[in-house]
Amino acid sequence: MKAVFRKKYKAADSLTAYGMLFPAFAILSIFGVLPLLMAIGESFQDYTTKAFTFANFDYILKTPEFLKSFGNAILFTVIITALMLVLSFLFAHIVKGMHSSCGSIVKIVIYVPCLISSVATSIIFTFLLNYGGGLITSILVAMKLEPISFLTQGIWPQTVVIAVTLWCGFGYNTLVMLAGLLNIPKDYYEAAAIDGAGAFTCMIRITIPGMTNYFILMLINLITGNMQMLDIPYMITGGGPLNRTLTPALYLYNSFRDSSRTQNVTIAGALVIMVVILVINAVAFGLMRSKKSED
Amino acid sequence: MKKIVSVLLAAACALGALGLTACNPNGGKNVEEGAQKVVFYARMFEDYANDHLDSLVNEFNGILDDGIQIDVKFFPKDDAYNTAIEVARSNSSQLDIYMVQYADLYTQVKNGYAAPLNDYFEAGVWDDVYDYVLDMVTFDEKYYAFPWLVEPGSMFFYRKDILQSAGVTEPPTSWAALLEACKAVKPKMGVASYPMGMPTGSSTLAWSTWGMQQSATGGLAVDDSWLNSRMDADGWEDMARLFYDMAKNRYASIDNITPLGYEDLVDALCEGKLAMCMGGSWSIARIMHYYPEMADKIGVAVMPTKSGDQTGITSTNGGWTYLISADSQYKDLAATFLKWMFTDSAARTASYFEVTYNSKQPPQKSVYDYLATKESDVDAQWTAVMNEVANNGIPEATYPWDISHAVGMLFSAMQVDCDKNTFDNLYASRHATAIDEIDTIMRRSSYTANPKYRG
Repeated sequence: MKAVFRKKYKAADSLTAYGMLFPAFAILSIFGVLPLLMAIGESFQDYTTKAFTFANFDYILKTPEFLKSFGNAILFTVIITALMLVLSFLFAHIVKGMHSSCGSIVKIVIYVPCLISSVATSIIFTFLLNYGGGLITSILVAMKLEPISFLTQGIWPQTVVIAVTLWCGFGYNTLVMLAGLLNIPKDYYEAAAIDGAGAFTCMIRITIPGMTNYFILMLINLITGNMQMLDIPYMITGGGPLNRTLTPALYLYNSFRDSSRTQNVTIAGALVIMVVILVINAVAFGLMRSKKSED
Repeated sequence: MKKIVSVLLAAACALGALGLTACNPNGGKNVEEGAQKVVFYARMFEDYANDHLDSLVNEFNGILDDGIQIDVKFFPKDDAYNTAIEVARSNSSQLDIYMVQYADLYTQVKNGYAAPLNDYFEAGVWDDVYDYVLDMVTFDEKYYAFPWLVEPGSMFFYRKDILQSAGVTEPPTSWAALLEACKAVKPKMGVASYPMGMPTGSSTLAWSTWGMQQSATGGLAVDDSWLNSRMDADGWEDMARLFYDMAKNRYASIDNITPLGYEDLVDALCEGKLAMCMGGSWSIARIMHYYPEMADKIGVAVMPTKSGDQTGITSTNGGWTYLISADSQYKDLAATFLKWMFTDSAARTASYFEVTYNSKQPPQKSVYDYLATKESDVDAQWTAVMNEVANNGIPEATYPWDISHAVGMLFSAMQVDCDKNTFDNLYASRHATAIDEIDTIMRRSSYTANPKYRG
């Protein structure tokens, strides 16, 4: 009798579990897995004959602009990730040491850019930097000085894209770092102080090891986000000059809008980007794997 | 009680009718009951051109016994327009008529997007189209688009008053004379003003220089068969040097000085920020519409060439065509509308060219002849130059866009990196890159020979 009841109970339990899992499973399948499978199918298909072909991958991998865009994305990712990690970590440290009311104001101020969409931010910077009538140009011209071509000349275009990206993400990343710093028990620092450890030793022996998982989270977020960077270069430089700020996602966006090109090529390019980001993330996970994260 | 109910019902019916009218895509204008809707995706141009097209569609929809209602949807410029077409095609949404540039026509045909029009138009209709235009819409002896307009992409505009004040009495005819004129004019220009306006950015340089490429090198980046690169031909270095010298001496800006770049470069000429500029024939319309008071101070000429001989090719002929989608279920109805637009009345077709200040060449002989009889506010010499350039022009390149873009990158590098390097070093490196990129593109398995090549 007991066994029958247990069996019935188990069956009902399983049904409830499957029922609760179903919506998430269905949504993931419809909007995630199914489109991915369809995209893989399309990428190996000729648009007109529908025959199996590698031509779409051959096309995209023999497109110099697309290949160059990866170099740009890697450069941006390395610079932005390094700067963002260091700057947000240092600033979070400063905010942690502030008086609580002052710290609250600073936290609000640095978070404000995160509330503005990156497209709006890009427009603001374009108004500032545009050569044909931007605010800075107008001021320079009013002072009888030659305007600076921020979006074309020298390393200005790359610098502007990096600076705007940092500006947009700095507040969020600082708050994540601050949460991590506040999560480290004060006892560790007190014990270290009793043992005579200085600030540098505390940083190396307590703070950085205690922040490892936060670093991993941010690293993965920053690498994935910056490898897929689209809106800021699109809005500010359009990928130019000389494709120096063209990113793979921007190339694909342009390719999608090109009505003369079949979408199978664009989809093949999207899959190539997905594989590259997967590989980079796998390498990053491998390099940064911590004992704690394995647990 | 019954009376109240009746009044309420009548009021509800009236409101319903009002609501239906409000929801009607034609805004209550010229609605033909039971007519088949034909969807027309139109690209936006200047406001006055959009208004004109809209009024033509309304006029057509006003014919209430043909069983056709055109549902025109306007989309802004290339980005949104191309995206809308892509989305409609991907979703199998109704799309019957759309617009494409001559240069993009081949890929529309190759991918099976465009329906051949031979079966929908009487043979005589095509006899009225100029041969050089007909050739641009013909593939495998079928006509895939109805040509709407032809506009040369590169002409020369100059300020008579500024040139005269600098002692330049005639517009330059050669590149050497152009540089001399720039040198003379430079001291007359203020801060953020330049003697010459040139196209900037690799994409714009890719297409706006096709005419110059043909004139300077005797061809384009690949030969007529598309199977051989021409990047080792004479003339590329001279052309690159022109862009380098212009940028290095700041005779021309290396960045856009107007919001739309090359498209509205002539605005800067009218505003005194430039003394001379390159521009497409559409610039005539911009001057006449937005700066009519400046028309007397502006001259229009053929683009200066490397040799100074301006009697040959100096520009490509761009322009727009109307296509019927291969997926359309209502091709015959769509064709009825196109016939009404283009073949019923020369006066109706010509009205577009009048609205746009004769800044484009009509592809049809009857329309050209009709316009010749009409008075116009536009300087006849401007129209004559535009016609001369168009008559000598070549079709826009239809080989893969990346090839043109590789050339555009070469010229753009001459502008952008002019302060970093000497011309010889810069040209050697960027020319090698262009050759390498074009070779890579030509190695694609899907790369094809020119379908029109009869060599």
